Amino acid sequence: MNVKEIALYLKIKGEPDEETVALIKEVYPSCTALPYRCRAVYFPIEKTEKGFKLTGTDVKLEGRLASRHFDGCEGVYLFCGTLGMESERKLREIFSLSPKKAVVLDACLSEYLERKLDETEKSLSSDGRQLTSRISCGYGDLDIAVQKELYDLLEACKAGIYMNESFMLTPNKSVIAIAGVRSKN
Amino acid sequence: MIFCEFLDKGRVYLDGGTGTELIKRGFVSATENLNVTSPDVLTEIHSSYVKAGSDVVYANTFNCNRKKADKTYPLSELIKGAAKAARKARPKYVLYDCGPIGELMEPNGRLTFEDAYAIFAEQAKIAEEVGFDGAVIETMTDLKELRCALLAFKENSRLPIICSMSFDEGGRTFLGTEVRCFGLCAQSLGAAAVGINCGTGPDVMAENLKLLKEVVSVPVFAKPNAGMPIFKDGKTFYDMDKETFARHLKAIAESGIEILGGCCGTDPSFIEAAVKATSGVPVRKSRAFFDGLCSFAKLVPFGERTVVIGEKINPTNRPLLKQALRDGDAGYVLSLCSEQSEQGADVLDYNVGLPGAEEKTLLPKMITATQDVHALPVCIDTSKPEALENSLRITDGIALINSVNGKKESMEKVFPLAVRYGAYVIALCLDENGIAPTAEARLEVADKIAENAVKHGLDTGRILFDPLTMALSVNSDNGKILLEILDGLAKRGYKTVLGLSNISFGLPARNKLNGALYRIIKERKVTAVIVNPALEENSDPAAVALLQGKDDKCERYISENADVGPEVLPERGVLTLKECVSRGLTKEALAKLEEVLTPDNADEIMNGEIIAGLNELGDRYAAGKVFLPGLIAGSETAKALLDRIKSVCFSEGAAVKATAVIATVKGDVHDIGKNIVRTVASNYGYRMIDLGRDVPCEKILEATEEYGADAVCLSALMTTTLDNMTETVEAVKAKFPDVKILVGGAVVSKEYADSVGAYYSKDAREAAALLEKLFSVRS
Repeated sequence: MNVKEIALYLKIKGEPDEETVALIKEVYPSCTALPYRCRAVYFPIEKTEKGFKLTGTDVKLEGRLASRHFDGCEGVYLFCGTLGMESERKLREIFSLSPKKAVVLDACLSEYLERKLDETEKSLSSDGRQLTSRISCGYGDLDIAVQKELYDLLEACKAGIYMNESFMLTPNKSVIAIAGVRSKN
Repeated sequence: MIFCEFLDKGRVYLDGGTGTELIKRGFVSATENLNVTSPDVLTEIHSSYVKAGSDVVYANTFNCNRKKADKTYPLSELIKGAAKAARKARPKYVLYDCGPIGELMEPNGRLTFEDAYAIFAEQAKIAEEVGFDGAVIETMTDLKELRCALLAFKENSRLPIICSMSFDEGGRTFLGTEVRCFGLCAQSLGAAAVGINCGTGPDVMAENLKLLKEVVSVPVFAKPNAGMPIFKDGKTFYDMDKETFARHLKAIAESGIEILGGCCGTDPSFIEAAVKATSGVPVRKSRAFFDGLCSFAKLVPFGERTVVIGEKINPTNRPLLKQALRDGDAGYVLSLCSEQSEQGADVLDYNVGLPGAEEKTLLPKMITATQDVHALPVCIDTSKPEALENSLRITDGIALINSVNGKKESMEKVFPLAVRYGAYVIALCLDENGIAPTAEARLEVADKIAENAVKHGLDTGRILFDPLTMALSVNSDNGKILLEILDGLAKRGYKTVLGLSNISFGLPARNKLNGALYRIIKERKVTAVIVNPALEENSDPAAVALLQGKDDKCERYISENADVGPEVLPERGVLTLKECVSRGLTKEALAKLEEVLTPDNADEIMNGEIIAGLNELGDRYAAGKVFLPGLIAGSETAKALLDRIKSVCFSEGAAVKATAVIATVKGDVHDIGKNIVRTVASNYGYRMIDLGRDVPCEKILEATEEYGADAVCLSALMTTTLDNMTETVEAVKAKFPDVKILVGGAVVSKEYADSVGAYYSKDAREAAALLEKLFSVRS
């Protein structure tokens, strides 16, 4: 666990105090006990006027961020990860007993999810191809509405992720991300 | 032969994947429209399965619900077309295929039970009219949704229904439903067969099927995928070939699963191979039997040891719970659930009986809001039949009804519900003549109840008889009588239950006496006990003697225990209450409170010490000397103090500064910040009505009206949901011009707040300070 990162989620700048660190150590095992489910799918990309398009689909990744981020890439990996409804239930349970612990748990869950996504990303590049860092819809000018199209392509429902009409994912601790695959040259 | 007879006869073959076959032919989306535009495509697929050996074909109606279906054709046309296309292939049986709605149900999502029911009922009515041989409810991951669909089909059609869910390797769905719990629930609601479809290949599914077979007495079916999906070149392939598939299916058949088919990735050749591999396997009709309760995730068998039913959710003499129920505060109820679960409760009793409370909505609401978190079976404690039925409908598991008694009216009302919803029932041994004084007379009432149950079609094994625990202080023989009745009930082979606590009413050292009785009934293997799960057993000789009727007028017991006072005297601390709050020192704060609290100074303590402490803490937080966990810690200390003051000084209706409705706006599912604001604000003496997350404007307006709110607090985290916040602010202003509106959340700024004419607070501390400024007479 990355205590500093968890502290950042708690809006603590600099070194976290002893009590917070103790709390983090106490609740972190609840995170690692949770299941992690992920899915991934690869698409080659082609340039459009405003950015890129996933080949064979109508899905566009356009705007300044996408154009810059996927420049030099021959394709993208769409992937999603979630800590499941179990994580929501755990938060509700802990909040009912101790809001203080729940706040810390919420931060730990966010950090843990990011670490699991790091692992997923690593496994995607196991064939030696170089990946860019991952971004998600809603970053910069990448339209959040595109998240629906990615959700459908990924069949994220099969990982137990739901989406509402505002493109928000349930369980809360879920992410849909895109990483570019750099061309060999 | 009608379908459910056929299911029971022997080996049955279902069909394989339809979606995969459609994709092969180039049909990817809105495939339900083919039922009208190109039914021959479907007939061809169905025919190839019939040719391969399928006895039963699922019609192409998986997405034919009003949420998922493409709107080009009305549902009735789509469903009619599906039936016609399937019949043309001449299978033995055609089933209506009902898939999930595609939206999360409450409490995790916004889809209510009633709305989901309507969506399923619509399909059931059309299916009944069109005419199918049965219905299959499949690919479900939420037991709640499955039960809703099963009830809708049961109540709106006469079709025999089979059900299957999708499980992962560990025997759970995404929403945590455990495979055996699913089987028991579906069976208890009248499913003709239960099974597993999709999710995994047959090799992994075999284990889960075994688990299912361990508990159900209806036939079991298996519809696995062709292995696991792999992505290549942007397409999904399944990694198992038909020979391997057939081999695994043979193993499944050999383990006793009678009904077989395939799901995603399979095609007619898979079914043909499976039929060939399994036709020689003899069908062993084994039927299991599980005696006990369950939730969506946990089984609680009867007979292994005394089942502990936690009694704390009962507002009698619990002023905090009373207030929470009045406020619709499920969070407090949840904390009681979590506490009891930690203390070892196996089942939780829910009683929300309050004068003026509408139990028929409040009881199911509280169960719905909490059952998926604690995941324990539910004991529904009410005397109102409507509240009972509404609760039985939404309890995700096999429930225990508390209670029926020997009065004719009670039995007429409760037994049919127990039968309809597959529940167990607690039966009190009293009748129109009241509570008989002798053991024999109460045993006669038990016999009468058993007889009546059988007449209603309820097996007596589903009844837990309660001999009625009468207080020893009233009659020192009541313990002896109680034990005599328990013996008599056990001799008749009946299950038994009792509510422990009443035995010690009116006597000192109640926990000691209760604890002694607890040990005795555990030793006698009483089926279940309703008790505070924190109770500790003991073998105190005076208590035991009294319970055995050897202590006339409780004299010995009273003399040995009369001066048992408070257990531990609180430590004297040098910190003031204000300092304890500011530093989040709950134990020290409570000890200090015992020293200083009198019936007259509660108000002064609340404002002079507790709120002053919160204010000091808030200042240190704003100055960056304390962080969020510290802020919450102080809040918890303040809450503990306030709870203690309220339970000692006020019986109910403690002075409230103002009432505020708080919610995360529609479209937004983030709530932890909003929850913190709620917690901190309530410490300052504000009654916070929390509507949860993703709350539409209308609901906020309704609550503002219902609770007479003085303020509305709104939270939003996403730019996309800001519009919903604006809409809500405008609507509240239009309808309630005097109500103060506070807004907050990561995406909200002072500029935004000014632009919509609302008050802005950056965090929980500022929100509380703002409320104080607006409503506190002292500020």
